[in-house]
Amino acid sequence: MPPGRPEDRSPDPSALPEDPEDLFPGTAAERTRLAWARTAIAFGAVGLAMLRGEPVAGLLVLAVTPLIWALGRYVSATALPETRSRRLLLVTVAVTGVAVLATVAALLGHGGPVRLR
Amino acid sequence: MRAGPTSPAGKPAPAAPLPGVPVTIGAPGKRRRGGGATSSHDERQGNQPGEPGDAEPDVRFTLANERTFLAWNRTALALVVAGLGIVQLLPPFPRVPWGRHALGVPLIVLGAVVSVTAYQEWRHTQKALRRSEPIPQSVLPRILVGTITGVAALSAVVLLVSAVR
Repeated sequence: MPPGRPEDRSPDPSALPEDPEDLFPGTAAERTRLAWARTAIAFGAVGLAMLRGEPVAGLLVLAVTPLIWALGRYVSATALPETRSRRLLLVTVAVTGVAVLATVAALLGHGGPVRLR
Repeated sequence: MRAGPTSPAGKPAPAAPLPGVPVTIGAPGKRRRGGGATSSHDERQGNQPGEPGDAEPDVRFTLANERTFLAWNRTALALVVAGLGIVQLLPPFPRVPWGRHALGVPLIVLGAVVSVTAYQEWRHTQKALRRSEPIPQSVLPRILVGTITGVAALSAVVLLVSAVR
């Protein structure tokens, strides 16, 4: 990746680091952004998969996808620890919510063992 | 949570630094550039409230920890989708009407457990990095192996019951 991006705070070029990544620390942030993108895509795939059987649940999950994507865009090396912690907690809440939706869909959906009426 | 700082602590100093090996990340001797917990491109982020003396770790360790968390959450999503697929897409097992739910619902619950545990482990790892302590061992592989083995055994039982009689 090209150096000189806003997130890059390259160390003093005169000092030769033993790890090449010290020259371009942005690659670690880049990998992390890509991991966030994969996670957002996974949310989108789950939403699309649920859309067929449970349209409401599927739409809810699809609505979360851009949120995860946006969180990933703001991965920066300078985030405060509390901000980072809250962002990751949001991911866990979203995944747990999807699991709850899926459990409800599995138990109450057509042919499920639990009947409301 | 079984993992404690004791498990990898007894390791003798490894011969060569392996930056990709998680266990060695937090060991004080592994810090690059003369042992500074923060490197020159690392923002000083201040101390955690209530924990004086803990410096924020090298941002690359923080980011690697974050990627691990995200990878576990993708695994959790895959488990949820697999469980839902079993319940909704498979045709019912003959003579075993509860079969699909017995196989699918545990996988969905496992997805939620994996996600919550991944968050807890991310916090513990972050704390260990901040204090330059050894990284606690993850319990997630154990949980995953145990549950998937159970579901596999159960699916064998369901298949046998639906086929034999």
